Amino acid sequence: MNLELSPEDLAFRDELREFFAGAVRPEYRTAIRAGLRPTPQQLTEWQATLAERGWGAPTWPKEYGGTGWTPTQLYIFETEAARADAPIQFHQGLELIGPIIFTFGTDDQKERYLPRIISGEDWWCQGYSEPGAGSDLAALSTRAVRDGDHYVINGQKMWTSYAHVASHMFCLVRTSKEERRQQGISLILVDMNTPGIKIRPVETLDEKHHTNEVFLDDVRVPVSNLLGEEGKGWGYGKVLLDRERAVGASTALRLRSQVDAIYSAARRIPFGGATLADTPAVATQLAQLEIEALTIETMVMRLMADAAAGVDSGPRASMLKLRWSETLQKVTELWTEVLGYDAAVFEDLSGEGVPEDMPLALQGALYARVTSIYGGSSEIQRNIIARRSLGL
Amino acid sequence: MNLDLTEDQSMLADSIERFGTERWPAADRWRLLREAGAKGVPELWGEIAELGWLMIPFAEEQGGLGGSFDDAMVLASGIGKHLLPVPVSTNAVLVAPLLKDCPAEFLEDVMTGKVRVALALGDGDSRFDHLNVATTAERTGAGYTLNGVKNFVADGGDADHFIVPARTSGSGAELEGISLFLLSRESDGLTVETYRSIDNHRHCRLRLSGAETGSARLLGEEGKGGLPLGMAVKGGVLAQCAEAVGAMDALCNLTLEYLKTRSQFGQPIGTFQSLQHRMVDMFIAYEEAYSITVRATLEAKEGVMDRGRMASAAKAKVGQTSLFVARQAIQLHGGIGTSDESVVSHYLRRLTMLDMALGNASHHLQRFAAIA
Ligand SMILES: Cc1cc2nc3c(=O)[nH]c(=O)nc-3n(C[C@H](O)[C@H](O)[C@H](O)COP(=O)(O)OP(=O)(O)OC[C@H]3O[C@@H](n4cnc5c(N)ncnc54)[C@H](O)[C@@H]3O)c2cc1C
Repeated sequence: MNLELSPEDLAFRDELREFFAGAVRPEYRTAIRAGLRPTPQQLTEWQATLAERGWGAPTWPKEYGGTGWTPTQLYIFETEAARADAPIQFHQGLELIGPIIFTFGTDDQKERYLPRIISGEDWWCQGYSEPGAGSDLAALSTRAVRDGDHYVINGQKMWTSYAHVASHMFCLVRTSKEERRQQGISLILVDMNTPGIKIRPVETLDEKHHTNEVFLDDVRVPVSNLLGEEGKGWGYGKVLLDRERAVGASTALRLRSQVDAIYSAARRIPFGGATLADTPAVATQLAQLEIEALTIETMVMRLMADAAAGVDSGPRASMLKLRWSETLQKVTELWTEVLGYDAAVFEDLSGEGVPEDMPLALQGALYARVTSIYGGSSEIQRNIIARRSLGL
Repeated sequence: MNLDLTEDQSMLADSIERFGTERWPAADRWRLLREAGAKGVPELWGEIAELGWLMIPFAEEQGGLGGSFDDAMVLASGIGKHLLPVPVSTNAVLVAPLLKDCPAEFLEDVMTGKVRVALALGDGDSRFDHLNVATTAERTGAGYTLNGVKNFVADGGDADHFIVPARTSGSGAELEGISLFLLSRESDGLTVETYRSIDNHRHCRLRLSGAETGSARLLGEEGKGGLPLGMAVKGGVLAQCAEAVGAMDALCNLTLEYLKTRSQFGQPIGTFQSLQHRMVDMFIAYEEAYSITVRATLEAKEGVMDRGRMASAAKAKVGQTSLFVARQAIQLHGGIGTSDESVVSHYLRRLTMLDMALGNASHHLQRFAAIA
């Protein structure tokens, strides 16, 4: 066992460091440190920047335009990205549908979709959840009925993030009624310009528009847009479990710079002849959070080591998601707390400007509530660990 | 010992319940706020004044209804329960005792909602220490000239007058030498910067550079404002605790209802044991918050002089428990709890700001320890 990087890894790290230093726009920094995503335009720009350098799909194999990096290289990439406050690449195309397409898709689908995911020309949104199917996804009721060369889709998707900017949606629909609810579900790729799609914005508690309701009314999609076999859509989701490692790693490695952001805020605030960062109450809370961040970082290393060795990570990805979301919530809460009365300035009404890291810190604290709900709620993650790993 | 509401208090609670349910239904809050837009809903202030609620925190000598702490608690908790966007805790309870020597006509205007008064806090670098006043008042001619910055005038966004603590002598957090001034929003040398917080309350920042005031605008005696200021803040803290407790009550009940009606995996989610236990913890948190708030309120009413230690205990405990309840209420609602449309998220936003205003839980925890 050792933590040392080989000379090649070190050279790779330096190359990344140099690239990020030149490519990352400093104006994204505060938002990123508050756990917020840059705007879709900024994310698309960032994706294009990486693609130009050949690093648009860090987790994909070379044959599909990916980097073919080893888990160690990927870890180094994510660590350096975090260190530079680079935007986190939007994952729904890159980590969720892309890998399903290159694993189960037809050659035509691979050619049509994969390069444009890497270049950032296409934006994919995920149409899984419905009003009646959240944690219990298999309860989904959106239906696709075959009509000649087309599927006709009717139903409603809920919480479809970025549907309002997406060019495509990958959608779970029911194509037949079977004994087991998980059967008869198909995965269909939908062009968002298809007639019959209506999008209603759903604002979240940070007063921002990230997500939507999507209504599908007689939406006709060519049969060639079916991914894999009809009725086998549920199973393709399983390939995602592996990808969660990558998604988890890219977000969890940000915690340390998020803690740093509070530290800088606290150091800017004069208090009792010193700064707020010097008070024992704030200093110990920051120390606690830094310890959490270090621990989580090491959990990511273990996941990467599993991946390198090609072994099953068991419950580790779920554990990581749980601890990351809970820690992010604590971090952003402390940031808000540190700001004191400045945290009340969410919107300026008289043209005088708002304090430097507001309202982003509070927006971050509010939006962080979402992280323990989406992508499998904390309760569901605990159920998974209890059932699948502990045999309870 | 009797912890029950009096008959008058029960009637007050009922009348707030009616007003909240009919005039400001929780389920419509999002739409009502949208329709109101940037100007907010200032008309509600006049409506509650008409119901006489603004007289509650004022003493009988001032033409009010007695100014008792437990009446204010009943009022504030009803407002918190319905998330009424009326800053009673700040524009009435907090300022009432400081206005006691004002002319009768002025007091009448305040109690009928014609004139709004807000207390200026957040002096320079003082953070949550409200007796740490750096703003200065210098005697000039017939009056005083004020200089300094007040970062947080609680619900001062629509106020016509500000109560401004300023130093006529002394320094730092010394009690002696703090004087209280009543300043009109239109005063020369005063810049008012208005802002909105995430709970849709409207506050402001004051920049005082040579703001002038006639001596008639001094509230109470010169240099003796520290003690009344501390007492007023205590009343405000208790009212805010009550508001939070009211909000927790509503949150616990609407979450309980949701657990019984939302189904996943073919059964109500309230049948999952992990959620049952969480729900129980939320009700326990509410019970705790209510208990400590009642105790601090009744001790204040009985005149126990403890330098605000019990009020700090309540503010710390209520801050912790109310945020726990609000965050869990969202968690148990799943995605819907995070939407702007759902009232659940509005409670979290209000409780986040209630925790902060007049000092957050960690500030009051430290204060509690320091007074021991
Ligand atoms: C901002 C946001 C963005 C999203 N983006 C997308 C997206 O792009 N695409 C997409 O498809 N979906 C998206 N989602 C949906 C998300 O995946 C769901 O919200 C999530 O799966 C939870 O479902 P639900 O909201 O219906 O809550 P419910 O499933 O109704 O859960 C309510 C509560 O019950 C608990 N619960 C449910 N079942 C159990 C159980 N068996 N045991 C114990 N507790 C249980 C939950 O943990 C939760 O606390 C998004 C959600 C949000 C809030």
